[in-house]
Amino acid sequence: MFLQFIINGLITGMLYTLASLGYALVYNTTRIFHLALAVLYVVAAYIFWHVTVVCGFPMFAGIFASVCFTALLSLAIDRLVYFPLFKLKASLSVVLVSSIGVFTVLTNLVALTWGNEFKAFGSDISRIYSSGNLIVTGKQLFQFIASLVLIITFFLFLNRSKTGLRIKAVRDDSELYQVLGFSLTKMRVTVFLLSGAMISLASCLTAWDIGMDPYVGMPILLNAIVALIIGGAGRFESCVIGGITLGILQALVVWQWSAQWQEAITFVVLIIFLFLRPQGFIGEKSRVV
Amino acid sequence: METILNISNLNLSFISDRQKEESLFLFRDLSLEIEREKITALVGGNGAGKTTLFNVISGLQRGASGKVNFQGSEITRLSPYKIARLGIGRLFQGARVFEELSILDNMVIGAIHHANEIPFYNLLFYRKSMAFEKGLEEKAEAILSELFGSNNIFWEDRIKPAGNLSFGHQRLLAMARLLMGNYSLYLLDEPTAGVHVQFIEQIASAIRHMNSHSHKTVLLIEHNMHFVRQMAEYCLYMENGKIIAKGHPNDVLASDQVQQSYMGI
Ligand SMILES: Nc1ncnc2c1ncn2[C@@H]1O[C@H](COP(=O)(O)OP(=O)(O)OP(=O)(O)O)[C@@H](O)[C@H]1O
Ligand SMILES: [Mg+2]
Repeated sequence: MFLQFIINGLITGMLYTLASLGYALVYNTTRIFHLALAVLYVVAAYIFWHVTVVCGFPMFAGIFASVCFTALLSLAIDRLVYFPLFKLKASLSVVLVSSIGVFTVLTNLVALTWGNEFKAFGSDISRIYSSGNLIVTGKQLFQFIASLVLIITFFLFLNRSKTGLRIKAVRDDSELYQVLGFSLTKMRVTVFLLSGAMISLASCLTAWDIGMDPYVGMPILLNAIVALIIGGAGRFESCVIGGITLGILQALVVWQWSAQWQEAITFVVLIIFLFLRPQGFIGEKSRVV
Repeated sequence: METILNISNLNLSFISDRQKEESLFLFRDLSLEIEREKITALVGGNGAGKTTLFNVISGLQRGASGKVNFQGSEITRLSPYKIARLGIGRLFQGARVFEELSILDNMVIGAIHHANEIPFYNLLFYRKSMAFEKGLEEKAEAILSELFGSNNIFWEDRIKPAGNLSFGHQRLLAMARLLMGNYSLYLLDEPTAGVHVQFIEQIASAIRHMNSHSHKTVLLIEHNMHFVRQMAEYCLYMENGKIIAKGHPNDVLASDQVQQSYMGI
């Protein structure tokens, strides 16, 4: 049973990692508390659901549509809300409030468009792989492989491509980046598009298994943010370390006590880290949030 | 004599944090001219506003009134990256390298090339960009070996993160990186500050390389008066938000005004 929970936790943790990477792309480069990402997560799931369940397209078409739409919506939020505020030199707390505003408005729009009730992706009983006591559903296996491939691709992109290097450079020192002749505005386009794509993938993979309603975004985003903080804010590797730690811890809590405590453990972990190791697992001391 | 940079009637004030009503007037009608292809030193007391003046020139400090002209065109309200692309290179005060990036990547990123800002350019034009990339790496190697000799630690450790270097080496790397770009004016903020004496000669030779080798203009902020006398042909002295003395370093540094307020004699 222990191993079963570890496996479940690992898969959840990898999905948290994807969401956390989506958040970190924006946070690490712009320092925006991008809470509106929670509603992008929800919108992504509904687009996926609409294209596959309502319109009857195949799953991959649904994911593709969702990724494109979410990435563009993410960019639109920056262009219409964050970027004008940045130009006006608004403080980060003003930006945070505007982000909550976007979150609220779009969440209501989703509820108006698709309704408040829970939605799921067909009830087809997916295949089950078992060995001994261990059970892994076909959907879980797919989630595992897909998120593993995505995480590896992301880090290859970050460390090998020119765009990835520039993302790390802005993260390190955005003033230096600019005086070397690079436009921060263009960099924002890149990170918001990528962030939207990442959150959409996390969302599609999750919703496909467990369904969704208009309010699933915020708890996931909070997990993603806590993952980044306990891993060490400011870095991208943190998302993996923090995301998987959280996923496994939550699974162990469910195993030992009950599912009620699953969300609570996130905040217990956050508080422990903020007190004992605010720089996270791998963060530098000077870069505390 | 031809000027490359021309600042006229610059005014900038900050609201002081402690006394909310009172403003801190950093620049009051500051004007200055920088001669082309010369090394000019900008000297002034701590907090005189020298770094802030560099920030105004490179577009990082907004809200100043007045005009900044570079090579005949006004750059007053341009974005920092456009100013850099017009040909103003900047060395920051302190060690500023991209710590996570390798030493080589720190050099290569210093060469401004628009194409790389297009996402996926490298995938789309793989061959072309690989050749280009290779050219940049060769340029980096050439600059490093010219400045620091053919067996320099920068090239040897080129794949290691720049954050591993000592402070002095990070400064030298930042200096070498400037030579990767195609600048006609270099703004150097205290190139020798906090650097071990053993590196000062290397910094001096990098500056001479910029100036005499490639006929570029250098404006440097410096507290090391020995270094100023050794390097600069012109000297500007800044106080109370203005340039109050200019001329040959020996004359400026010997003038009564400067002796009194800066040297404290
Ligand atoms: N954004 C700002 N808001 C308020 N005050 C500022 C701001 N930027 C700079 N100052 C103030 O302006 C003054 C000049 O700072 P600056 O860094 O330009 O001095 P400096 O001449 O470079 O000094 P140093 O030789 O010590 O490097 C300082 O007193 C600083 O506190
Ligand atoms: Mg200074």
